[in-house]
Amino acid sequence: MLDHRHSSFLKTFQTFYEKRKLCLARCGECHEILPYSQRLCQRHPNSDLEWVEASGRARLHAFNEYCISYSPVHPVPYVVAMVELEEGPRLVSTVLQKSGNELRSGSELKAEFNDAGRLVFVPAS
Amino acid sequence: MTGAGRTPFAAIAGLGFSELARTEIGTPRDLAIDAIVAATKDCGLDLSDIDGLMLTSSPSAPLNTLPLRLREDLGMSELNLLGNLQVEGASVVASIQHASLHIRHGLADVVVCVLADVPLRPGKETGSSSYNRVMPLSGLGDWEDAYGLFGAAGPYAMAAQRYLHKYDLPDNALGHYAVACREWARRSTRSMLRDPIDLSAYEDSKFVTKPFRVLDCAYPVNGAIAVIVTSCERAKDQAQPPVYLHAFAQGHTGGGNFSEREPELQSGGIAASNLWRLSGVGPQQVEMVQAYDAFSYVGVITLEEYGLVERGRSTDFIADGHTSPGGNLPMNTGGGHLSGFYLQGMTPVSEAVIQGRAQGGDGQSPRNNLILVTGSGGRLEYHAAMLASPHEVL
Repeated sequence: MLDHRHSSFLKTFQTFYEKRKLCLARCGECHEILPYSQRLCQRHPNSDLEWVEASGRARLHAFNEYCISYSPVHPVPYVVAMVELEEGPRLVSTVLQKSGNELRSGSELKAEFNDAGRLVFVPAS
Repeated sequence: MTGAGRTPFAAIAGLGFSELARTEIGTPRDLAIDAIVAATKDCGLDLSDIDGLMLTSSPSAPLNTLPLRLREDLGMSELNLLGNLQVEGASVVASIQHASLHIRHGLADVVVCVLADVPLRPGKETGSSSYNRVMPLSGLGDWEDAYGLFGAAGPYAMAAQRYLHKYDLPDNALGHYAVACREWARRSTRSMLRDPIDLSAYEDSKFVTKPFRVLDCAYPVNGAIAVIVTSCERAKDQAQPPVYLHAFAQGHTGGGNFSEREPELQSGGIAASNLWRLSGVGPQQVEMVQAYDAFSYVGVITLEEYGLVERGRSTDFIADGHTSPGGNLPMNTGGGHLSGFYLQGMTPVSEAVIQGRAQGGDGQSPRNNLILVTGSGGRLEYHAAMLASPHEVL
């Protein structure tokens, strides 16, 4: 079970993601949630990881808005955001803005999967 | 000053530049040869005196653009130290640290550290196309590709947004830094951008990725710079005044993407606390800063990470002229990466050598007694620093 820990972490995350589930890994021993960049619990490096589904509740940590285009797949302007899940880990995503609403760090968000099956965030209210 | 009684690790004896240009002037290997030859000529050493070679290329460049074979190009047949050290933007300072420790312990005598980069190929590669790789901030493989988080500019813009939000600063706050750097660039003979700018010119500058405008970003060039590091004793016998290297420190973060952490605001802090602890000097003794500033924000946050300015106050400090010509904390005195030229960490090193030797011409500052030099890479994840001085004893 502990083989190829980096690759199997990414594969497990992706398998859930393809089923439109945003999951988090935690230590099988102490149940502490790991950041998405980490492949083991430092205190229990030989424990299996458990995967749990995130609640989807989140806050906007930081964001930037592209004004020059680097790729035709991403017409400008578009926003890229660092989103903080209520369980702790942060990950890059985007926030779909309601017209007239300015983005603000700290604002409450919720996770959704768009038609293409991609994780996006929308204002919680 | 405190720190008395400590002896420097080594000294920089030679500094050499290739041609620096926005046009095609050669490969990194060609330009590295030119810079190394120029560095030996600068200090009067021969190529045959060199017994160590440390190479640095851009993490954005294809592998092996600066191959170990460079030693053979230069006729170096018996080296005691050789390597290509890669910690992204911290590489240059880390290489000089590596060289200095070998020299200090007698494992090498004269080490040349070189950086060469050719990001611009007219008609093929521009600054933004060379640096548009996607940076993995989440730790989920190529996750960011789908969201279009291109370049270093995007991730750093996000960090800058967080900073401006946290300290409730106006949208143009980072502009003061760009203006101050341009003031220095106007006094330098090597800088690329010398037209004066003010805050309104900054505000008129096009957004790349908000909050960054063009004037927040480094100005890429093709070129190479080499420095020759040797023992203090040997450096004293050369043609140029030695610039002594008194302290080194590194700091690297990871797994910062978790609640309660502000990775965007504290990444150089590990290196800073190591530097003050190991050097016996403190921020109050630093007279000059030569910082790795890939973007305006990186220069701004460096002042705070090293305790030179209170958290959240750097842009006011810069606006008040403290880092500008005539200020009490001159910073990036050749214009830095923004207005001078972007040679990935060798720019601040070269500026420290020029100022330490008092060869800055119109841009020379009298406040050169203790110079903080930094290297920063990743998205503020990799950091290396050194303290340089014209004085052997602090």
